[in-house]
This record gives sequence, structure tokens and C-alpha cells, in this order.
Amino acid sequence: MLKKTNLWRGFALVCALLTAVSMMAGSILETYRTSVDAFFGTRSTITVTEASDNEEDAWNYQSKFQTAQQASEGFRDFAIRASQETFALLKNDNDALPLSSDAKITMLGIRSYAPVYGNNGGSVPDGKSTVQIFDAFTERGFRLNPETLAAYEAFFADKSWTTPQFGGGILPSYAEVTSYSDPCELTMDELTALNPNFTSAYSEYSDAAIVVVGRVGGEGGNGYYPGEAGLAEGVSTVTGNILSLSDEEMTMVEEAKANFDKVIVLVNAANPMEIANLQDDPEIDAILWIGFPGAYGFYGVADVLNGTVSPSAHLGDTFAKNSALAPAMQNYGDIPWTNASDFSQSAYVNSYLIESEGIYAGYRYYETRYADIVLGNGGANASAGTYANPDGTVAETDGVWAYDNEVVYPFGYGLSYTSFEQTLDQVVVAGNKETATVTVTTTNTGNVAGKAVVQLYASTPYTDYDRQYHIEKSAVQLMDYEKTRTLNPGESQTITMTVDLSNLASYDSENAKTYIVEPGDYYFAIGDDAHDALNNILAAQGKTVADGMTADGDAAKTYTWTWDGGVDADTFSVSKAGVEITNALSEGDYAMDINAFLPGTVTYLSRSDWDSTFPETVTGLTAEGRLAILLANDIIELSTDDDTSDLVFGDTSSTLTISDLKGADFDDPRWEELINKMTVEEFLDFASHAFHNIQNIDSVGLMQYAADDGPNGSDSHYLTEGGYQGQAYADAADYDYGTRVGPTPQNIAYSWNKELAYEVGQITLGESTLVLNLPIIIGPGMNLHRHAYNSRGAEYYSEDPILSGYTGSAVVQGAQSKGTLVNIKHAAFNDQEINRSGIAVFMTEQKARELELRNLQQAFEGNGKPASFAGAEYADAYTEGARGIMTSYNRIGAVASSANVGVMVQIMRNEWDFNGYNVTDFTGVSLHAAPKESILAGTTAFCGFGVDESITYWNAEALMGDRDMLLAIKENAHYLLYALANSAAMNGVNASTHTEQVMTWWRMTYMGCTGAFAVLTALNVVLYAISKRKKSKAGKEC
Amino acid sequence: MTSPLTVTTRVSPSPCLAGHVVYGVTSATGYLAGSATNPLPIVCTIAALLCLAARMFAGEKLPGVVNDLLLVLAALGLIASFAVFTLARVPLAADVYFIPVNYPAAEETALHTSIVGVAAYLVAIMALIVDAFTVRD
Repeated sequence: MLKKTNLWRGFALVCALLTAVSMMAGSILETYRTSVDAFFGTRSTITVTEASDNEEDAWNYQSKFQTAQQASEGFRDFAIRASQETFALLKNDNDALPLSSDAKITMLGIRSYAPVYGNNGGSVPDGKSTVQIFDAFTERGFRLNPETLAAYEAFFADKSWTTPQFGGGILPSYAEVTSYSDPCELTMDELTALNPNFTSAYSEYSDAAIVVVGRVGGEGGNGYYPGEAGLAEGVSTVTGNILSLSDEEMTMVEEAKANFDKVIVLVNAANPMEIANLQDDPEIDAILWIGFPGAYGFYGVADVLNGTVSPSAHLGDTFAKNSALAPAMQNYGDIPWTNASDFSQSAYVNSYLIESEGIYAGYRYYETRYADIVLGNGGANASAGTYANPDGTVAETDGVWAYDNEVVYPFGYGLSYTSFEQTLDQVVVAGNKETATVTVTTTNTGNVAGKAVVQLYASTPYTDYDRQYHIEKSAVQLMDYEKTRTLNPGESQTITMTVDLSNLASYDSENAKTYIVEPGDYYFAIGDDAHDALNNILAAQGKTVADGMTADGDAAKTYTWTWDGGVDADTFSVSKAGVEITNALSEGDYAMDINAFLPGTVTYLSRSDWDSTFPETVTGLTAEGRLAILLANDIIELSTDDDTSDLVFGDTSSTLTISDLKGADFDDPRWEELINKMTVEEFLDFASHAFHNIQNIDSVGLMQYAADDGPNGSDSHYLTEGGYQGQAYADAADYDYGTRVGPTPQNIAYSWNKELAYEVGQITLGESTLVLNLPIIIGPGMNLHRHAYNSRGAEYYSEDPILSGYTGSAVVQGAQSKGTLVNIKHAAFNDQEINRSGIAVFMTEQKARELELRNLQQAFEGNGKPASFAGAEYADAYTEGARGIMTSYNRIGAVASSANVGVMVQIMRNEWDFNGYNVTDFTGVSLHAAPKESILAGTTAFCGFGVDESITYWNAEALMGDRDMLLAIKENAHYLLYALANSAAMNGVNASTHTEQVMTWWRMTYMGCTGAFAVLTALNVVLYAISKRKKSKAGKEC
Repeated sequence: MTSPLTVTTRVSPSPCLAGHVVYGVTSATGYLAGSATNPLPIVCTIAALLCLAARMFAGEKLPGVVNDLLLVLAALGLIASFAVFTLARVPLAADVYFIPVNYPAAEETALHTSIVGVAAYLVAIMALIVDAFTVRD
């Protein structure tokens, strides 16, 4: 038996250990407080504002939801309404659609039961909210074949939805059927084994067979690969690529064709699918692209299928017969530096991506090759990249390239249940040549109501100057677009667009070193899609099918305008902010052209010679010399002896707080006084604690806030945490639903509806901010789709910089109208997920500026205002661009994205006049982000969990001797405080506003445990002492 | 005077030393090479080892209270080392487990090696706690 002294001694140590563990738990919980709150659904801090008559107390951003019920219903209703406009009808032979509202339907394919509702990582849909496809269809009135449904139910009976890789909650997808190399379709044998009566009710549910085919998408990982490398063992597909249908999927299609008169295919994929065989098959009556419809989106799908609304979406990407043959695909995936292992692992030097296709990505490639054939520019003789022979069979070698053999559905394609006639009424180019006013009238010439899209394209001359200085020109490019209101049969609408002609200019990095416009004929054309518009342009040039056109165009839909004189290197050489535009990415450390580091490495694709410049995979590069130094992410040395005595930090003489500058302009002189109050330590602390968090800065009165991903609503938070103007929803506990319920961002872009995108900004992002008190929402995602195979396309918008740029710009404007500090991501060139952390992305400055950066520029300059916003109601909209950005994991050229001065400073801060918050992706303060170089390039925060121990200079003492760093810290403080002062972080805030800690259950637990175990430790020590004393006395008495 | 030594007292220095070595190695090499190392675990562990050594080699000559004090101080030193070591590695765990696809392999190695070291400290602490319950005085 243990003696008492032993017991007290032992228990004292046990309690001491438990005290230490409790304290450790407390430290960890408080360090990651915002994430812990998100995980447990708790609120560990509240913002308290004392009542005041001061008018500045006003809640300047108003939520439209005052209860959790209103919020839940509001997000839901908008998600359904938005989704209805995001499905593109690709085929509808013999008016197979719409179906009757009570049609008896047989659903086939594994995605008919377990569709892809949204991304599996990044912008994930909320599983708690998700209404499953069969429930949504049934609720809308369709009667579904119970026997096919039963088979799929049986298959999934022992399977559960999963948890997302990023974010919280439940992901409405099954891990067992989530693969980038296998569509996971079941065979007929498997289905009949699951339900022997699988085929028994075909005749009863025969109004239509709906086959759903899908491909998953999401953040991270390796994603899709073309060819055999992209196929799991045993998977075989129509084109040999994962983006065409597998044998098992085709079996489902054949089953439908064999047993039903009407066959409808729903394409449930964000990646452009290779579906020429479905287009060509006369027994397939209709194809509807539905992308990722979101948690409530299958209500919208049903609404389109039954004709409640007419489909009005158009493709924002090209659907090729074999996307793997696109020039962009020749350099894709994991192409390592030969000496990658020589670098520190924490510098993330892995591989490179050389985008030698130049500007010829997406439709710019297919349509330009087509135009060069028709125009006799040598295109007819070019054979590189040929997929199909003239008879449609797959070409074994490069042969005769023909548009019809390569493209299935062009960019901008989309049908309706009605028909429209559009006339190009007028084009007036402004005297300064900077804008054009274009008027188009759309008339509904069909029998049902519907919305139409006005697509305005342009074509620029390809000249000898271009050939001399390696400037490339797409034969057609989108200039602007608008969507009509719902037009009843016979109804017309005239829309006047003010078109920004700077988007016509080409970037000349060799000679003029700025944007130029060349003399020659320019064509503006409307069309049903990019190919149709190009045909109209070619018709205006006198071309017909006799010249190789796929169809005759309509010259009346084209306006020709001639730019006289010499090469104009003036008109667009100065940005809208008044900054001279010149090379930023062609030479020096920040170059994106690999030839600037390794001369002669690559020849970029040129329409002057398609064959000899067609890209080849660039392998085997070794990073040496300056290139290696840059890749190491440790480029500059900090000074230690600069005179910084005149720089003021920690000034306590001012009473100014950030709430005094609520809504202030960037140039307000009070900023200097406020920023002088901040210490270097405070800035470093703020910058290093930015994972879903806005760190408090006490000296300027900035409180701590939570922030969250992402582009499709809050990834981690739920309405149970919601509130209205500082008060928690009384009914919050009854609504355990998220705000990430709408169709995926790519779907939104495919609506071609700027007004809808603005609403997405207001509701999906803006209301997430206000309801969940998240001043920063990381989104929208605005990287361009370089090709069909990137797995993260659903989070982004389109292959085209104008469709993407104007959609993103509208989302930003809507979000900022509600006080969201957007973080547009990812600046820039996050063109693939493979090796995204550290991959070095190279391209010409022309491509960088005319595609990805032109796209981002629209949101940063507040461009693309919808024609319908011309009235006073929207006078304040589009007056300022985005106030926040998130940089990318990849390098821009050889330098960490956040440290690339060419993009971050020269282009974004200077040319675009971006004065906002600039945060890295999830790098933390680590070598991955080149922290000191990034601070100098305007980074205001590093998303992550603090400072990596290898960054030894992250303290005031180490930085106080470097004048440039201190000036950059002051400047960056200005950016971040300005952005926050103009956000919902200041909502309801006045001088009395402060944060109070809330005793959450987890806080109570660790504090209680710490206290209790500490007391027990002390008690055991006392008892030990008493016991020892008694024993000692007893010993003496003996 | 009775012997203050038990099996666990004799055993605990080994895992203690193992934890100590792992802390030192993971702090100075691999992913954390070049980073500032918190000296507290090193100081506390050495102090704990000295206490244990004193008990082992001079325990029989020392009063019982002093023996107890040495035991308790050794345990507290290891608990402090364990706590600081664990907290120093939490950011690694956050990187590796929160954003699962975004960390270098060296960081995962440092984390998993550290987990072994933390576990070793815990074993040493448990051994001393057993000692505290069972040692003769």
C-alpha cells in the first residue's frame, strides 16, 4: 500500500503535468482562436460599441438579413435564381427540351445520383445546405424512375459525404467516386447486380433519359493529365483523354439511346469536355452544360429542363475535340529544374512552366488558325497540332488542320429555347480613339421569353511591324458584352455599350516598349459566339465558304474602322492613373521571358509560321547564375547602418484612431499622423498573423477580426455564428447552414451577366462579410483558364480576359458595396495546380499583359460597368477598383510572386493605382514568400501561422538599420489601414468601440483546468508537507 | 536511511536524454536549421538530469526531503522542457495538417521526428511520476 507522502508527492507531479498541459492547450487555442471559433462555431470575442449620438456611429454597410431565417432563405433563393442563368444549352435537336414539368424521367450515370455540386477543395459547397439532385428534381415535379435510383442508392448506402480538404463542414461528395483519373462510372453488370430490376421501369419512365456525366474539380493536387498518364488503370476513353467519356460512361449513353426516344446529356464538369461524339450523334437530342451548380443548383437545372426559364448561358471556354493538342498543353505539368534539389526545401524550387504558346490560348488559337486559312495567310499549309483528318477520323500524324475537325463548341456558344435577332445599329469611335460607343438591338423572334447575350468582338490587323517585332494578334477578341433583360416574344431591347479600346492595343516589348496601335483596318462585330463573330468579320472582308469558311458570315453585323498614320505608341502608353507604361517583365530580375535568363531557350508560337513555332515541351533546364540567386528567394541584404532617425514609429502624441479615418481617401493627410503611431513590431505582428485573421493594432485602434476564404462564400463559417449589426441572430441555432451555396464562379461567368455578377458580389461575398463579421473575404478567384486541363478552373472564370475581367470586376464592385475587403486571387499566373508552390512561370510580356494582367486590370481599375448601371442609383459604383489582392504560390518568372516588383509595384501599384491590402497565399513569413523582398514590393500581410524560425530578421531591431524596409513598412501600413478603413471592419465602429473576450466553453475548459490543476498541485504539496511533518514528529517520538 | 532509487529512476534519464537530443537535432538541422532555438528545454533538461544524477549517486547520503526535492525538480524540469518543445513545434503541425498539400517534406520530417522527441519526454515524465508514487523515503 502506498504511503501518504508518496501519494501527495505523486499527485503533485500529476497535477503539475496536467497544469502544464492545460496551459499549453490554452496557448494553442488562443493562438489559433479564429480558426478554433470557426471549427467549433463559437464566438470568443465580441465587438462592443457604446451608444452615442455621434453620427459616425452609423452602420454604413447594411445587411439585408436581420435574422438567420432571412439569411438562410436569402442565400438559398439567390443561389437558385443565379443558377438558372448559368447553364449552357449546347444541343437541342427537334426542341427536345424543355420537358413537361411532370415528365417521367429515367436518370442514368453515377453522377445522376452523386453529381459534382462544387469544388472538392477551395470554394467548396456547403453539404449541410445541399439539396440532392433527385430531391430537387422531384420537388420541381419530375417523376424519377425508382428502379435506376434504387441501384445507385444501394451503391452509396454504405458511403458517406466527406470533409473538404480546405474549409470546414461537410462536402457533398463521396471520396469513393472522386478521382482525377477515373470517372468512376458503374457498369451495367454492377448496376443490375445492385438492383436486378434496374431496367424494368424504362418504359414507364420514358419521357426522357437523362444521362449525367461529370468530372470533379478543386484546389491542390495533381489534377488532370492528358493521355494515358491521366487515366487510371483500366480506364479507356473516347479520345484517350480523361476529359472525354469513358467506356462505362458511353455504355450509359448507349443504354439511353437503345431504350429511349429522347436522350439528354447533362455535362456536370467545369473542365471543358471533349464531347464531339455527343455533338455528332443524332440519337442524342440535347446536351446541357451545367458546370457545378452548387448546393441548391439542381432546382435551377430542373427549372431549365422544364422550361420555367430559358437557358441563357454561353460557354466561357472553347470545347475542343481534343484539348490536349492545344499549344498551351505542350508545356504543362511537372517539368523540373535539373538542379532543384540544390536549393533549400523551404525556398520551394521545383519546376518551371514556359508558356511558349504566347497569346494563343483558348479561342485565340483556334480562331486565328482558322482565319489564317480563310485569309490565305499560310494557315492552310500548317499541319502542327492536327487532331482529326478531314473525314473525322483521328489523325495519326500532323495533317490538314481544319476548324471543324478541331473545335466542337466555340467560345461564347450557347442556345436558347427561343431565337433572337441582333442588329449592330451604330459604332462611334471617340475622337481620342480611347473608347467607342456601340449600339446593338436584340429582338426575341421566337415563341418563349428569354434573355440574350450581346457579344462584341474585334479584329486587329496583323502587320509587317508585328512580324518584325514579334507581336502576335488574335484574329478575333472579345471586347465587351451585355445581357438583355428577359424579352418576351416579339420584344426588343437596345443596349449601348461604351467600349474600352485600350483592350485593342497590343503590347510591343521589343521596339516601342509600350502598348501600340497600328495602322490598318479594325473590325467590330457582334456574333452568337467567337467563331460566328469572326465569320461576320471575314464576310466583311469578302470571304465566303468558297474561301474555306465553315459558314457564310453576315457583313452587316460588322463595322469597319480604319486607323490611319503610323504606329501609334502614344494613345495607350499612359495608364488611366497617368503613369507611363513601359517594360516591366521583359528584362532584368523580374523578367517573365525565360530567354532573358537563358537566351535562346524557347521560340514563341507565331501566326507567321504555325508549324515551325508550334510549341515543344521545354525540358532539362538548369537554374544557374542570377537565375539561381533569384530562385533562392533571398535576394537582398538588409542594411544595418542607414540613418533612420527621422522616421517616426510609436508616436503617442496623437489621439487619432482608424475609426476617425473611416471612409477616408487614400490621400487624406491624416494617414501620416495615424501611421506614425504604429510601431515596427506592431506591423510585423499584423503581417505575420494573417491566416483568416486580421490582427489587432492597438496603437491605431484597429481591433482583431476573423477573415475567410473564399470566392463562393465563407468556406468555414455558418449562420449559427451570424448576426445583425453587432447582435447575434436570436434564431441562429436553428440555421446551421453556410453561405457557400451558389453555383461555382465559373458558372457565374458563363451567365455573361454583369448585373448578376454584381449581385454575387453583394450577396455571396458581401452578405457573408456582414452576416458573419468577416471584413476580408479571400476572393474572387480571377486566374485565367490557360487550357482545359487545370483542375481548379471552377474557382476562376474563363479563358478570356474580358469575360473574366468584367465578371470579376462586377463581383468586386458588388462586394465592396457591402464593405467586403476583397482579396482577388491569385496574383498572378496560377495557371496550374501541379507544383503550384514554387513553380516558376515564364511567358512573354505581351502575353502577360494582354491576357492574365489585362484580366486583373479590369477589377483593379473598376472597369466593365454594365450599361444598365448608367443611372444615378449606381453613380457610386465602379468609381474605385479592388482594394485587396492575394498573391500566388507560384513564382512570377524567377521571383516569388509577392516579390516581383514588375507586377506588384510597377504594374499594380503604379499603372493601376492599386492602394490596397496585399496578402500572400498560405506561406506565412517564410522563405517561400521571400519576406523582406515582398515587404519592399508592397506586401501588407503574409497568410499563415506566424514567422518561420529561419526568418531571423522579423523584429524591429534587425530592421531599424534599413531605411528602405522602414519606408516600405510605413507605406504598406498606409495601404492596409486605408483598405480596412474603407471596409466593413469599420462598420458600426466609433471611438468607443472595443473588443471584449467572451468566455466560450473551450476557453472556460482550459482556464478551469489550469486553475483547478494548479490548486490541486499546491494542495498536494501542502498535504505532502503536512504528512512529512507528521511522519517526522512520529519518528522523533519513537 | 533507505535507497531512493527505483527502476523508473534508473530508466527515466534515457528517454529524457532522447527527447533532449531530438530537440537539439531538430532545432539545428533539417527544416529548422538556422532558426533560433529556445534554450529553455536544454537548460531545464540538463538541470533535470543533474537532479536525477544526484539522486542516483548521492541519494543514499541525502536527507529524504532533499531526495524528494530532487525528484520533483527533475520532473518539473522535464515538464517545462516538454511544454516548450511541444509549443515550438505546433506551427509545424499547423502547416502540415491544416493545409495538407502545402509544406516541404523537410517540415514533415522535422515534425514527425519532434513528435518522437516529445513522446520521449512524456515517457521520462511518466517514469518520474511513477517514481514519486513508489519510491521509498
